[in-house]
Amino acid sequence: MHLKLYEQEEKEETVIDENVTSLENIPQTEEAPQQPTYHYDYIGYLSIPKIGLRRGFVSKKSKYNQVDYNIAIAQSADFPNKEKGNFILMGHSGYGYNSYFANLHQLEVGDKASVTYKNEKYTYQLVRIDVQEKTGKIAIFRNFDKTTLTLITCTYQDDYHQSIYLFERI
Amino acid sequence: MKTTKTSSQRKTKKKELTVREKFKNVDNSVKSTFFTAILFIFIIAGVGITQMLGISYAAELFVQELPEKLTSKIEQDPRSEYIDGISLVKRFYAQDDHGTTYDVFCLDRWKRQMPDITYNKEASPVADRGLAYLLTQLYPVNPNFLPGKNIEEKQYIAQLTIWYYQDRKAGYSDDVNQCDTSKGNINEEKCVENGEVENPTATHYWKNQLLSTEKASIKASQYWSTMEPLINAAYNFTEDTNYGISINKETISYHLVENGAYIESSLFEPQHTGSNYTGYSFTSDSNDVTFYNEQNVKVEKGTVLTSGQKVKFRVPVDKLQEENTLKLNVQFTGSFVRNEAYLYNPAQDTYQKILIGAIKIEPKNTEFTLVLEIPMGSVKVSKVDATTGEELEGATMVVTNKKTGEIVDQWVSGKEPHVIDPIAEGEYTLTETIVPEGYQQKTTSVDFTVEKGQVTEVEMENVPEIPVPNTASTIPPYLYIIGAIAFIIGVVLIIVAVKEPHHES
Repeated sequence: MHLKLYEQEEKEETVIDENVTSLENIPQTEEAPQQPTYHYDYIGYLSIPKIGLRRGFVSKKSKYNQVDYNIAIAQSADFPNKEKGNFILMGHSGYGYNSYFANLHQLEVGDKASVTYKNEKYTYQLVRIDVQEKTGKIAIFRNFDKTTLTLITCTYQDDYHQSIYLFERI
Repeated sequence: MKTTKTSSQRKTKKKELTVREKFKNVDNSVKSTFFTAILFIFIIAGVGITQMLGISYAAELFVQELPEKLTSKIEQDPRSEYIDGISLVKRFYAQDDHGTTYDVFCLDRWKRQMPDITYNKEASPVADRGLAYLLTQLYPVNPNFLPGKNIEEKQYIAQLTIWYYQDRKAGYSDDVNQCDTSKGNINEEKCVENGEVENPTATHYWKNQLLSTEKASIKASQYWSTMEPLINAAYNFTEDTNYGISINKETISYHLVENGAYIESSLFEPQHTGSNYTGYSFTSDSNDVTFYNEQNVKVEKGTVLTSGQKVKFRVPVDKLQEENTLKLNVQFTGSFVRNEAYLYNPAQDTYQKILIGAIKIEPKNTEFTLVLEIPMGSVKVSKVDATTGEELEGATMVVTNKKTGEIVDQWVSGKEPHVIDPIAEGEYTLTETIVPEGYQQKTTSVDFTVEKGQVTEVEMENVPEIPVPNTASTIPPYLYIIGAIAFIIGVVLIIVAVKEPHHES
């Protein structure tokens, strides 16, 4: 009975919205190393094999949708399943434990990334890297006829600029 | 009975003589002063009468009119001889009917030079342009000729310069005297057949104005350094008589003014070829076109503008003469001047011809018709949000002519696309100079082309900005606190350990 109650409680905790997926339930691929698991209610994850990045993201409404905790979805972002939309993820760079985008600066045009969301995997290719001044706002220059993924982080070893990595779905 | 004077009486008489002498001296002084004053008065009166009779000297030597008739005058003595062996009359000049005097130069040295001879102006100016040029360089036309010298000396050297030039122009060698065997002589001295003469100092009908010995003296004189370059310049003088003006239509751009009611051109002026250009004027058959100067002041047709003064014209848009084409004819007249020298001929051939020491300015005009057929189109400019495709308000936009850089139109974007109609066919640049808040430009400017009768659509996109957090790596503050506490604990433990008594340890 206690076991059933525990299971029931666990089930309730994991159900936040219809798109909740925990990291344990996501099939592991051979190309991505295992990341430590946290009890965040990830709804999808980002994978960039070249730099060994594999990190989940939570719902926009979640209090953990912040760069201090995770890679965060921008409030104005579209989701990956929207045609010609732009899925925008932001994360810390640098040396902290939460610097999930610390190695983005190693990417080059042509490198690939993938996003798994609602059991669909979307693959992208890096087409452009922009650098803009850190003002609290950035503009994303993209082809509005393409479905894109945008990753935003502070420019490597630069306190005054942010880098925008623009991927187009392939 | 003899009377003797005492010493006092003698002194008195001596005293009286001295006073008388003094009075006489004073009287003489007064008289001389009086006569001097009278003489001075006569001089002044003489000058004044002279002025009243209108005997004046020509103040202007570049004139638009020259007298048709002159009467020669001569001041013979003392003769001028600034170069050894060349003796000329002191002054040879002429006077017109109004009493105005002119310096003149004789062109037939071996003919008679007499006063009170009537001379008539030739109908046409001197054909020899080098002679006309030379005249502009000599006294009296050039006041800077031989600076510091007196007038008599300047006239003397100017006359010799003209004669030397005449010989050079005629091809006579400096070393040989050319005998004119076609004429009879008046002094019973004759040239021998080979050109030599028995008495070279007597008056002869020489072809050359200056004898070889005289030329040698001139070359050895202090004046040759002034004369030689003038003679050479006159001899080699060529004048650009290819008078003309033109306008390069490609340099003119057009834009709308007065809220689109008028088409206005950019400022321009004609280009010219030929010497002595003074300016231009313009007119047009069309009553619809008006002209303005650089200060936007209206300029009437026919106004003469000088070189460097530009003009622009303006035509009402509703006066386009054909659909989508602006047609306009403007006639430009370029003004040039030509410096002309004139000869005067005596009634009798025995007297010499004279060259008047003044220049007549004669205008030369050339015409150019600017024919404009300007095809017109229109352009529709949209400033949009790249994400929505909707018109974006608040952007400051400028359209410039790509060739000339002239601003054609400028505005602040609104809810509707901006239309420029009409706009001349050509290439333009659209530039966004002020970006609305919250947006960034995809591009600063866009080039576009306008074609006749076509609507060119131009779109410029701005990308909206999104807020982003500070994504620099940060360590949560509580970790700093934990770290600090751990450090303090560690220090305390070390201190305690150090202070622990030795017997206890």
